[in-house]
Amino acid sequence: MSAAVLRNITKTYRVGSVEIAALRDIDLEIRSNRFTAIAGPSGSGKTTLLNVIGCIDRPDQGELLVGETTVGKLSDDALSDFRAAHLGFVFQSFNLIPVLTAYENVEYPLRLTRLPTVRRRARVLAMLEAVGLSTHAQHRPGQLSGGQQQRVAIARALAAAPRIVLADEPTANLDSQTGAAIIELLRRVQREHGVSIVICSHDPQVIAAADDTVLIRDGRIESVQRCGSDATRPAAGRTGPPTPAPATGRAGVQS
Amino acid sequence: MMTLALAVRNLERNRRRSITTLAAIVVGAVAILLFGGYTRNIRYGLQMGFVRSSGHLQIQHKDYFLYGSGDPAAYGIADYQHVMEVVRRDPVLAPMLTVVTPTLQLGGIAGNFDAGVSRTVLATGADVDGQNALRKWNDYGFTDNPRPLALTGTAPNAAVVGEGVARVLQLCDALGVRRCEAPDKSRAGTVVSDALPADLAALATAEAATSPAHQETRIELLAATARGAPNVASLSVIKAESQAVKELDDVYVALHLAQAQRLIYGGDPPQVTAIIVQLHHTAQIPAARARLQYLLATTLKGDPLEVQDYETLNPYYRQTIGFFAAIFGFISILIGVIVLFTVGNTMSMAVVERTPEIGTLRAIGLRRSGIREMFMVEGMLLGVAGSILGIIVALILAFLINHGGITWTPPGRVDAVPLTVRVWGETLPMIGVIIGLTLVTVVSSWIPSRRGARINIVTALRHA
Repeated sequence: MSAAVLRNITKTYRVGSVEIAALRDIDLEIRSNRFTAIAGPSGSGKTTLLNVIGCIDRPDQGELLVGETTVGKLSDDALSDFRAAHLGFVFQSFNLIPVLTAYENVEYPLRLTRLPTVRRRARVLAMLEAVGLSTHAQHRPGQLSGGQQQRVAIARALAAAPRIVLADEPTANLDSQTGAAIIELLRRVQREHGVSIVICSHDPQVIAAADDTVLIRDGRIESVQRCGSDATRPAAGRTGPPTPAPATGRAGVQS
Repeated sequence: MMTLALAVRNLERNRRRSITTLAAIVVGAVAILLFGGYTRNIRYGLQMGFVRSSGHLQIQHKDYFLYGSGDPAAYGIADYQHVMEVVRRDPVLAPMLTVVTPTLQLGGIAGNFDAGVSRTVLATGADVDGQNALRKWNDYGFTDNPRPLALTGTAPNAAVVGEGVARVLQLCDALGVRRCEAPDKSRAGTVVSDALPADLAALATAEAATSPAHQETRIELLAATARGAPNVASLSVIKAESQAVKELDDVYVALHLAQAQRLIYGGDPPQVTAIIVQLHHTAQIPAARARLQYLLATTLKGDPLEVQDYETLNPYYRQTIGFFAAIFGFISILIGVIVLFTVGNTMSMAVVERTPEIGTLRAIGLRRSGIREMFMVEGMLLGVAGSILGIIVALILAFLINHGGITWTPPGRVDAVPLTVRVWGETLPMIGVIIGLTLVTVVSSWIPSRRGARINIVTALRHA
């Protein structure tokens, strides 16, 4: 089963009187239990695509299924609950809550899913153990290095056992060595926890580690490379060659 | 639990701003409590003054309150001793009563023949023992020591006058009244012989001639009897007392009840214009009034009597309380608005600063209501902590003020009294301050929290 399926997704931003197409007619399947990289140059629409898959941005047109749920029909509250239960996020700037300890940061999404206290505690400790930070449970983000903070963020993203973890350039604020360690960690937890990870990056290390690579340019999917396949394939559901980059010069504003 | 912990830690996170906001709330709470304590003291003081002089309730002849002042004889309570006995012996009323005493109000003309002056007066015939018992009432723990009625232990013809009366009747020197320079002769009080018809002047002169001895402070009080005929009582003024309010000071005469009754009713059975009923506590007024009305409708059915409370009898009390209540309300609203904007500004800044945090929490699944709750709990914590701290500071300041030896003369009083602010022991105002200021802070947090909750997640995350 697919982790997520996008059909004819279009997203346009308006900046003043100018409309900017961030995503154009995107069809894509995110496979379950795979490490999927979304790659592309700055402004190509990577982050917008990730935000749409992560249900934190609604497309203007098209349909998104996460698992078997058509998320476009959900209310804001239902969508929040859905994210809490099925999606995890890892951000470029870690985005830990600064007043909470590492333990509490990891615990937060579990509180949202109302997991009983005993099970919650066991789960938090397991997640911190998984990212190698069990000894830093009571440290606040300010007392942790960038790499450690990102590890806590990964533990938080995995805590509620989500269907998909979405990571937006998780190595961008880290040195290459720490970045490599984070990629390795993501790769490992993806395998161990059987979760789909969708990572948005132009870091060659990330692309190299990915099972599937989606190349996006000017808001269109240029190619999708699946593991076990040498050929460059168009996006799921499409026939014919990859969509060429638009010649109009209009491009997404986000990267 | 997590929301509360988050709120506490976020307040600690920006300590300086939290302290500044807390300080505004504390100052507001202190101002409300101190001014409230001050007005409360005035209210209690005024109430005590009225209850000590005219009781909590008065039984009067029907319509006496509205129409009887011009003709007290027509509105007298004939069998007042019986009425008082019924009231005192009533098993429901008895536990509530402290004093039941009669009084007789009358209007007349007081004249000083030696000086050749007179003036209209409002005289009160008082039962001295009853009045002294009234003066012992102290339900609010005032530290003053009420003086006994000046008529205590005096001759039956003794009288006390207001300083204004003493001034007009030119008794200042004899009674030691201050601020009583010799009047301009052209504007001096009316000469009795000019003011009164010849027959009344002769009556007054005759009464004066029958007085046991010539006294420097003797006056004649002329009044109409119950039968409509003029009558004169020769009185020995033993003291001039300031009545605080000039209008009263200029007409006040107090004399023994028996003397007043003799003046109005002569040889007829004596009557009174009111029976003063004083209770242990002001809060007992509704119950006591209801019982009195029941008695008037049953046991005392034959007498056309009615019951008036001290607030009705003393409109000045209501006016003064209303005046202070208006000022207190105005100050409270002003403080509420200041706190509203201060906390609102603080929470708005917090929302702006924590926009990436809002985006993160929303992304990981916190609902909009969760964001609203987070900021409103912060506002509520500020309100609760600020008002509790305000109560503590107000208690300390009230203690210092109450023990600072500051005195002042409140409205309706003659002597200076210690400046007192009643904060300690006043639980309801304290709870009111906590609830009121907390509500204000929650309301002022609501708009910023709503704005925070409505921020687009993607936009919020871009601020990281």
